Amino acid sequence: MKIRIVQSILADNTRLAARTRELLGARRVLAVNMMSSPGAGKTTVLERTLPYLKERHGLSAGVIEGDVEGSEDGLRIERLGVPVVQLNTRGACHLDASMVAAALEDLPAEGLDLIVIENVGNLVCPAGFDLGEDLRVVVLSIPEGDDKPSKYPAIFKKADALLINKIDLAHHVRFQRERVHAVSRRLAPAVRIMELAAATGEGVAAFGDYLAQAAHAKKERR
Amino acid sequence: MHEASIAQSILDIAARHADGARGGRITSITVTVGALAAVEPECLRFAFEALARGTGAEHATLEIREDEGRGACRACGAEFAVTEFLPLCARCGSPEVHVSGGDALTVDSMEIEP
Repeated sequence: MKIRIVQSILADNTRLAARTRELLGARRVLAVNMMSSPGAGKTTVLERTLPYLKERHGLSAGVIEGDVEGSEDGLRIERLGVPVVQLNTRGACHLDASMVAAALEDLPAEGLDLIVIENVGNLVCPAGFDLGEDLRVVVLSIPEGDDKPSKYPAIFKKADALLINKIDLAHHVRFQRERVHAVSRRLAPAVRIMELAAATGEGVAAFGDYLAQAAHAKKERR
Repeated sequence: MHEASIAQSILDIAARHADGARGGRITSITVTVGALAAVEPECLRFAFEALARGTGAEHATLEIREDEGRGACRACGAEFAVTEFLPLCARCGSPEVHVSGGDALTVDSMEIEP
């Protein structure tokens, strides 16, 4: 007997992501899904950006740290005095909406203006899973090479913002920024591209201002 | 290997519908995987076979249908099917192609026998 189903394979994930979106929509808290390969500098970008958001814009962030194992990144965020939940996926290569929904319960329900979800370092798998975020930020560090957007297009296609990190190393590696800009724009014509060096702080303000603007826009949304 | 999560979701959906139809052995499951869904069909098949063991879908075959995306050339206006993220226009060769769709991931149907 044939049974017609016609159901999205990711329907369960999509439903949980929608619930998170609704919850954070009601609280008017901006949710950011940050994705990159391992070592691109996601945590360092946050270490620089979150204090800037607090000092310059008076905005408080919470962080959900996704890693396969360990709590190093969670501890780095905790040292900033920022509320953080460390998620360990025990081998899974990406976060999904159920993990994020559970982690949200361990963050303060009030007093946060934005929540940053630092996904598992991986340029492939996180692309397919909606977590209930408002913004997808992809970080690419220049030692990884300028070919990454053409080799891993799915994640760059869905990016709202692309951070090109570690530009302080530009003299040491071959990296054609124009190539990354061009291919990223072909994949995502509206993507906002920002260059920075989280280690030195260069360019961090621009990213912080971008997040602040999005957080304010969400507060004013009717 | 997020194909493992996808395979598990397919099995969960199939099991739910098999229960609704009062059990029975699942002999095949047909899914659509978009060419731009970032899911590798062979990885999906491998994960499906591994995860199906010991379930009602243990001997089921996984039929994978590909779904193409649509490309619209910004330079010449041509419209054509695409299976790549960075296609060139099929008519004029321009890289300025707006790509939509091609990201379907659905369970379409399954066959069960008593």
